[in-house]
Amino acid sequence: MLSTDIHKNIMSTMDKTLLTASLFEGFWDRWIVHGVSYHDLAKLRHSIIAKERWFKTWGELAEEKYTMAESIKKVGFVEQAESVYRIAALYYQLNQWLIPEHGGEKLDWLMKSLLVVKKADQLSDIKTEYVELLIDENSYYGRVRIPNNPEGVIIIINPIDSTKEELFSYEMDFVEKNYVVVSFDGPGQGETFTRHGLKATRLRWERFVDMMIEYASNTFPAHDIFLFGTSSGAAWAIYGSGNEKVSKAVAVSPAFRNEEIQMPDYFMERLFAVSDETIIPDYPQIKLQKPVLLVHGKKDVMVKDEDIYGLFENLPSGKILLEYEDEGHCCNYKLPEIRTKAIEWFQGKWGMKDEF
Amino acid sequence: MSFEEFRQVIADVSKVPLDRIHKDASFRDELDVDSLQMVNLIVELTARFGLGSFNLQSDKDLETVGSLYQLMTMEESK
Repeated sequence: MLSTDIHKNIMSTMDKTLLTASLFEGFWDRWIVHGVSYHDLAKLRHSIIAKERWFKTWGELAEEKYTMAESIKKVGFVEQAESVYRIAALYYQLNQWLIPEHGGEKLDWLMKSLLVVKKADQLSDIKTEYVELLIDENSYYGRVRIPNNPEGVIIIINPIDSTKEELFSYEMDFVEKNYVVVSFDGPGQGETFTRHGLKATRLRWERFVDMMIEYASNTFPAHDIFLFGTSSGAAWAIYGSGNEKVSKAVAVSPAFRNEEIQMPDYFMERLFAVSDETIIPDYPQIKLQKPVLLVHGKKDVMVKDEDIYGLFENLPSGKILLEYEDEGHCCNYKLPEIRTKAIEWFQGKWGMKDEF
Repeated sequence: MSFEEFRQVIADVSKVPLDRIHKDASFRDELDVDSLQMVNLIVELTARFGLGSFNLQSDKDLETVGSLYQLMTMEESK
């Protein structure tokens, strides 16, 4: 029997998040596709209902994975050790993620995660640079993976509720295909928010995306620049497709402002903790220039079909709409396939007009 | 929490007419309550009735009005 315990009548954002996590399988889709093991989750999902239990559980599991990674490294299985370090870091991410407010305990858990990510980076053949961008006197923290003789640069634009370290599987996929990967925490996200409390505004997001593109263009002037985003990150990838320095953009389940969609309270409260205003770009104001691969899950309850079709109508030539009948928001379980298609599309090997 | 009170909260949160809310009604297929609304509904019920704990046997406990009511009143009736 599975049991949940809630503080009576007082439900903080964390309480609401914990209740949702314990009862709704769909809550975990995102974490599973980003690397949380089914096995660990099956043991724990319904029992993690108090925040102390959540911190203890994921903290202990992170330590367990970390120890496992150290042992694997010692016997020389470097690639496997790197992978397990990244899972350990992801489990620490779960602890920092639960806390909506910046600083304090959130920062402690984030720092633990970042230390373990660095251990993983050190084992990799691919060079990693940790970059601090100063935009309008605010620090933005990023990581840049640089393979030898890259074919291009992919900027990952992370969704507002995620961090650059959480989406490591995207980064690994793109790096393995020989692309430089640039991934930053934007306003209201990850290290950028947790260290200094920098909240998200639409204007800050515009500047952030512009400056990431500028940084990529200046640092890797010989290479094409591509954007890849999911959810609110996809919305900002579409915004970025209006930049002349960008070649193509992939937008998976871009977020829209739609008052008919009632998001869960816990999610809205988490958003209010990192932003005082709507942070979705105003699509009609974007000077769309470059081809966009738009991806939509037909079972998405957060993005309406008509919003996607309306946007697609207005995209410039070279656009593609890729739909999945059985996928929900972010097409979580098709993301590896989508990343492969994205690379082939960047290379001009997939998505030629005749195929559609 | 009586079943009538429970129905009323569902009607308030989900904006579904009260007369459509009966024990066998499926949240998804009959009341058009999607997973996002379901999250809010359970949070509201938990907060409003001060539910201390409840036990989830499987995701089927969340499928109909009757099964959810049973889930949320199981501990109360002990």
